[in-house]
Amino acid sequence: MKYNKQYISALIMISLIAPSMAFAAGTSTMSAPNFCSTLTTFTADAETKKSLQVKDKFAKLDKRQAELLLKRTENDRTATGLETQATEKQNLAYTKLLSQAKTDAEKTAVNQFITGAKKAFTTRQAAITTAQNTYRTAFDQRISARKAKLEAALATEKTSIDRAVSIAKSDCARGVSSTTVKATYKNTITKAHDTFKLSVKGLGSVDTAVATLTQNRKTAITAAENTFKKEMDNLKITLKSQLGKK
Amino acid sequence: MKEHTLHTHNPETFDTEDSFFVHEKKALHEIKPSKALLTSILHKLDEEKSTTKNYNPYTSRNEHHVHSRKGIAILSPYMRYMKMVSGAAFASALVFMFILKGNTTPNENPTTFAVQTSPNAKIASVAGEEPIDVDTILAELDSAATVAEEPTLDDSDILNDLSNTNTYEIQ
Repeated sequence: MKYNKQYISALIMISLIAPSMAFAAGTSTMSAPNFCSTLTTFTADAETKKSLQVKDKFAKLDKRQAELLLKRTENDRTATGLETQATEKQNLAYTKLLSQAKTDAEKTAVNQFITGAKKAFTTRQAAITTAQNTYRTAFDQRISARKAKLEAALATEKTSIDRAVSIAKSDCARGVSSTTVKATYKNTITKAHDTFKLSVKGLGSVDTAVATLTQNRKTAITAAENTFKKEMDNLKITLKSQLGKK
Repeated sequence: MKEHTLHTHNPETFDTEDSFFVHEKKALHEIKPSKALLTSILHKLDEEKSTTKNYNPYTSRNEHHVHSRKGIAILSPYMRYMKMVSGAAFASALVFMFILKGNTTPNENPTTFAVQTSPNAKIASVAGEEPIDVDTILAELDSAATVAEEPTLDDSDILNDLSNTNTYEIQ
């Protein structure tokens, strides 16, 4: 009886442990046939997930581009408002100057100054607008190129993945060991994604990509400011000299 | 006659301005009843003047000098006091004016102030109008260009997500 009880206990334990051990072993030993049998479903699911992911990321990118354009418009509106205020202030100054010019010679001098000043302001604004537009155009081109490179990298990855899936399906159909098929597939997929990651890394940050453009814009605006200041200084000297002779 | 003693103030001994005014007020108060004294002094002078024959302060210089000396001798304490008080008042007025001048800024705009030193920089004024400084008007034209900072685009999180996720990967 004592032995019988021990046997019964042992049998119960074995009956409990054995299925789990067999199931655990199945992941390694049974994975090969499972991989081939589930390959089509698995890759279709992976493609859907990838497609949704890419779509979501590009939608985010598009949204950010739209926000950028909106911000530009807001900035332009603010700048236009400030520019209008500045023009009003300039016109007030011109009026003050004209009101003080009593003689014909003074009036001529002031009018010449006003014409020159207006030209200087217009030239400066035009130079700044050009610098701004050049920057924006180049910026948008860089972003588009970046997006295109990302799309190309994704396409290259997809091509590699599609090829790997195709080979795996073919190998499974040809009766190649499921383990071998899985290993080949996994290796190809990893390489394809590593290549993609390298391509993305090669894009760098947007700020780095547009650093030259930012610098060019800054240089152009500074040059426009300096030219304006020089022009205005000359005009002022001339005006004061002409008024000083009176 | 009652003896009237006048305070001989030394401004240097006053601790504060308030103490000075207290002393001054006190002194004036003490002087007030001495009107009779002054009347008597003037009367005395008139008497002496009337007793002096051919008195002319411009021709009889010596006599005038004598009389003046007598008058000064009588009035000397009062005159000393008056000198001191008027001197102190004058000094106070000078100090007050100096303080007032120091607190008044002629022109708080340094540009305009500097420009005022340059007569050529002013446009000729017309009657009833203040000249407007050319530099002041021109300074209003020195507005910097309005250049807004350009917004940029950050896609680093998007690229990271794409790089770190591989849906085709098998475990």
